[in-house]
Amino acid sequence: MAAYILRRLLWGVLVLLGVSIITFITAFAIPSDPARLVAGPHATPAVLRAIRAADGLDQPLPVQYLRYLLHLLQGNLGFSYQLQQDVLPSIAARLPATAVLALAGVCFELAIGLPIGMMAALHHQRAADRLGVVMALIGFSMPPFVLGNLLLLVFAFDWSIFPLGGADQPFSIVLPALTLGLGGAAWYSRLLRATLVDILRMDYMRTAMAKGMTWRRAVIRHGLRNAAGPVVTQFGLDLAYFLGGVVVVEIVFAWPGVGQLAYNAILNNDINLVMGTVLIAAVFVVLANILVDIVQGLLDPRIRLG
Amino acid sequence: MKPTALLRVPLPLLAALAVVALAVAIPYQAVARTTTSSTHKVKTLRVAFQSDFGTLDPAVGYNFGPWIGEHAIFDALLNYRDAPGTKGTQLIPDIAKSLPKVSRNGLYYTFHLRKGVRFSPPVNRVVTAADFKYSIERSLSKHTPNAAMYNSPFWSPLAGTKAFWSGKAAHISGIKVLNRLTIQFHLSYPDLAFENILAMPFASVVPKEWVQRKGAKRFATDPIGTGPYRLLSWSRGQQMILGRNRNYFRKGLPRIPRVSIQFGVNPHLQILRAEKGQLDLPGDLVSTSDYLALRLSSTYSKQLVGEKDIAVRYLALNTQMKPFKGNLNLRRAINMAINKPHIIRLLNGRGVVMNGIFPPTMPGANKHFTYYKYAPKKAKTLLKKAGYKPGQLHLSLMFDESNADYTTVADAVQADLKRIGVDVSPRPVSDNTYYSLIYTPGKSAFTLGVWGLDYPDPSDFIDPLLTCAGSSNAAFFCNHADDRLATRARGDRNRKQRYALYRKLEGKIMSQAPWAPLYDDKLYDFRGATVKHFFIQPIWGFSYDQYELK
Amino acid sequence: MIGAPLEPVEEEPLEEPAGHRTWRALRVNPSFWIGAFLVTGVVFVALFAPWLAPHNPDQPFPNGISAIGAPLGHTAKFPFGTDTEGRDLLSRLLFGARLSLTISLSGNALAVLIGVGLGAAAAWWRGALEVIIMRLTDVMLAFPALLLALAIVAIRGPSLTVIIVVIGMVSWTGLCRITYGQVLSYREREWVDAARATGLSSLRILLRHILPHLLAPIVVYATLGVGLTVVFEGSLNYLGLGVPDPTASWGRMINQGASAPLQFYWLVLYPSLALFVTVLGFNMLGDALRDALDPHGQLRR
Repeated sequence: MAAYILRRLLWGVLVLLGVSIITFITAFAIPSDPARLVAGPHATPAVLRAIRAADGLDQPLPVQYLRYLLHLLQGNLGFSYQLQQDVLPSIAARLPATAVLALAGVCFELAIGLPIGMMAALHHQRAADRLGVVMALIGFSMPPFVLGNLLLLVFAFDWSIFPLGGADQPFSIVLPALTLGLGGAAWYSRLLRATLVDILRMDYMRTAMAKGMTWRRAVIRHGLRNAAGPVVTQFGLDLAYFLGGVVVVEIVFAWPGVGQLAYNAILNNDINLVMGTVLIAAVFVVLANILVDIVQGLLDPRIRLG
Repeated sequence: MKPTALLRVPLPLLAALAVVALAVAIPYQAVARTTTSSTHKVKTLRVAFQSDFGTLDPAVGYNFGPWIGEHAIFDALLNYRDAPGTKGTQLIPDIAKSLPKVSRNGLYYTFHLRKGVRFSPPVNRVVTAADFKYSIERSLSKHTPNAAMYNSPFWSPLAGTKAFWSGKAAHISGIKVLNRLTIQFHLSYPDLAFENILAMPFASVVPKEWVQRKGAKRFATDPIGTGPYRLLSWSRGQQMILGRNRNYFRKGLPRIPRVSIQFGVNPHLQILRAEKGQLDLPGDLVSTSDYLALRLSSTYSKQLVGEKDIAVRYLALNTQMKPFKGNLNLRRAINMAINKPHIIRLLNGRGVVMNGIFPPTMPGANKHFTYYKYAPKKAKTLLKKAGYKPGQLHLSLMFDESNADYTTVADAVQADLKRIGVDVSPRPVSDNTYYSLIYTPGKSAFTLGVWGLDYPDPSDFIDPLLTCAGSSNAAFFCNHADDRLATRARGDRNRKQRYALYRKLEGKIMSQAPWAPLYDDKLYDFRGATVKHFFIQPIWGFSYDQYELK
Repeated sequence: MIGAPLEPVEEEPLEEPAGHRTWRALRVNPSFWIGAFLVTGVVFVALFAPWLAPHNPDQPFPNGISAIGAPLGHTAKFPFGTDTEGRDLLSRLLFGARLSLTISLSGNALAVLIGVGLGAAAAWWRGALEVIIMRLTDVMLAFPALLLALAIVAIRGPSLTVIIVVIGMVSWTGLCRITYGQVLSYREREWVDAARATGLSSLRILLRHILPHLLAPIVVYATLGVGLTVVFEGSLNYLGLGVPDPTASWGRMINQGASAPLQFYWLVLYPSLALFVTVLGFNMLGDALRDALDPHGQLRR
């Protein structure tokens, strides 16, 4: 087990190295100039040259990359031109907000998606199922920026039930989390429905019923337990993806998280900050994958680790 | 089995999840709240912006955003009057006791400082003339990281800057401390705009001991000045809180003791919040569609505050690049093809048509300057003369996409030029890319240019924009005879004569048509119903210390 | 990474041709009919936009805005109203369909090409190639797709080609894994050995004999992918990093309309509906196809 985890971690480091190279290439192929951002639109060429020399922006790309990597190993993600502070603390300062939104979003996904999926599976091919499927499809087909703006307009502006974006009031989180949740709930309901439908057809369900177990208990005992695997996988990955920043939702709702930070960094060509957010997001995905694999192994002894 | 029974299965699960969600969310909100809750006890002006100011170091910040913050925290020798409109372009003494005594030849400027002006806590020290010498040299020094004024033409009239910049001199010989409260500036040639330069944030006074203790980079986020406010807290990209500076030398100011500035709120959300009373003052300008909504509303139209900008939006026709290089007919054709009144209508009337270089709001401007009238038929003829049949010429128009208005303008220009047979493809780029390309030779032939003033004097629209050495010359216009005239005008101390020279220069340059001027915009801010005494300061945008809350 | 290679579809003894069975499953599925109807409608509109549109979508009409520059509501000349620049909204909607489908279909075609090509190559030739391709897949899967796409578009400049390539780049990994798993199982089959024995080249075997078996998962995956891509492209445009103005794009129209007051509801309502209906259509069609082609549910996500 330990060897397995170690191997997975090593693999994760390799993947992250790949991520850093691709990001670096993408970021430094810029036709514009980070020195310009520092100095502002009115700066003279001499000022720009001085900045470039001071920050090593005039050296060849491989040299710049190696230096970046060296700093990376020391936990230094560089300096953000736009925010005038180090990248790592900038991202760290935004992480709590994003983490809360991600967790609340995933919870909403489950709270909405699982009951629908379950109902659909238990009433397979009947009205409730069809209704569930249609609802899932609609939720799934609704782009987050349409849904988000709609919720904002109706619940925050017209009815004044929730605050108009931001994160500084007790119920600020409801609308952004709901926007995330409604879209994602569709995945879970589909996932659970499909898994349950398969499982409910299985022999052990019939056996359990024959042994006198009620239908409901059989569903809970066998069905849900077997369906837990895919749901847990999905849950872990979603959480990881959301932790990387939920760009659209954070922008619509002015949620001060990593997604907004990354978006502003991209718009301002703040290279170090862009690379930092992408790398951190990738770290979450890689870690989540490893964790999910381990949890899967614990949930289902048939999957052998190693 | 009844379907209702089944519903019971997921219910505990649902409840559990809801509990988890709330358990996570509420404590976090509580934490987020404590950072702002302290501000609710004190009267607080609630402001929001899309982007963080980035820096509050007056030697570095050279943008709309940082200037707002720097203006609240720092003071210079001179300032502009706290008033809207042309009144607000008038220079007044700030830390200086009065306007400077200028020698007859216009080369010596002597300032006496107010007594007892002190830096905000924790420095608390009295400001002296030596502080100004230190602060200005710091702003201009190449050793100050990211100093925007290093090598800047703004300061070249000041004697000794060349030696200072090249590293030959440790100090600027043109700045002399005569005694504790008297400072003198010596110019190597007369420049009427020098007083305006001394009112810019770059000339603000900063405490040497604090800068040295914090280091240059940390001073940008932990500044100390003499202004009405001081920085209380700043979580980057999220929130900045300004509190009253109890050492401020003007009694009774600021009227509102605290300003809470939130970042990362998009302009539309700012307006919605202000309508609902959740925000006092949206920081970003009102966008087209929001403007329409507010204008058409009977309640909110009264809270729209407009102010004519001193700025120009123009088409730069790069005189060093094909197809405009050496083709005066083509440049004139473009000038005559644009239906400017229609552009103003597309912008919901938020602007004034411009035909020359100086906006009508600029002191000394010729308000009735016309050189090229809208004449699409004549433009077609000129296009033929220029050597292009309809459909032969393709241009790509570069513009800054960060302002939605420019997309509208670019589309209108495209439609207008299509009418005379020139195909244009709009090329929106991020503001950073925009500024790095348009002032670089050979990068953009056709640009939607934007210029807002640094100081209200015609020289600010000539020297950087339309001279051979101009650092922001998107048209790459270079005419040595015009340059000589510009230098003469800049040094002329007789205001009337000086303005006349600038008008003459405007005509001479426009006859070469390096630009197709479009319009001078009108800025609109939306003020929350709670804000009293609100006005737009034409140079600084906002003067938070002057407003009051109901 | 999750999802060790998917187990290949076991071939069942067939009593009737697969096509018939699929069709029977599709025919009774209302999802299929609704989805097919919506998709056909959008494709029709996209194809015939120049003939259906009453005006040039990019042309601002001087009489298309009111005296204070406000957009017009429903009029005889502009049945769906105009936008803030005085352009005909209906024409822009119709051409928006064109843009949306062009980007989504080409982007997905590119993703299919890359994904299937790399997946098959990795499984067939194995060795170092397999390691490199599958590690590359891991790397790409770790990327936050929207962030990466935004960064590339911001750097390269927003043009049609860049956006199509970006969409292809971030969406090939899923298909690569599916193809890899399937080919891996097929390559050991007897009929592949037989083909090899007759001296057929690897490429021929892959194209002639193996590819037909992959068609079902590819079709399902690509159909669902188009739905996702339409949203993805809309998001890029919504964030201001899509195909630049004046080209009509639903995402950009929604972005501009979202800040408009309710009295100009048409600015945001119609493009939102158009986007929603298109995505819904592809999703319903994809769902139905999956149910019919993949009864074992192996392509769930």
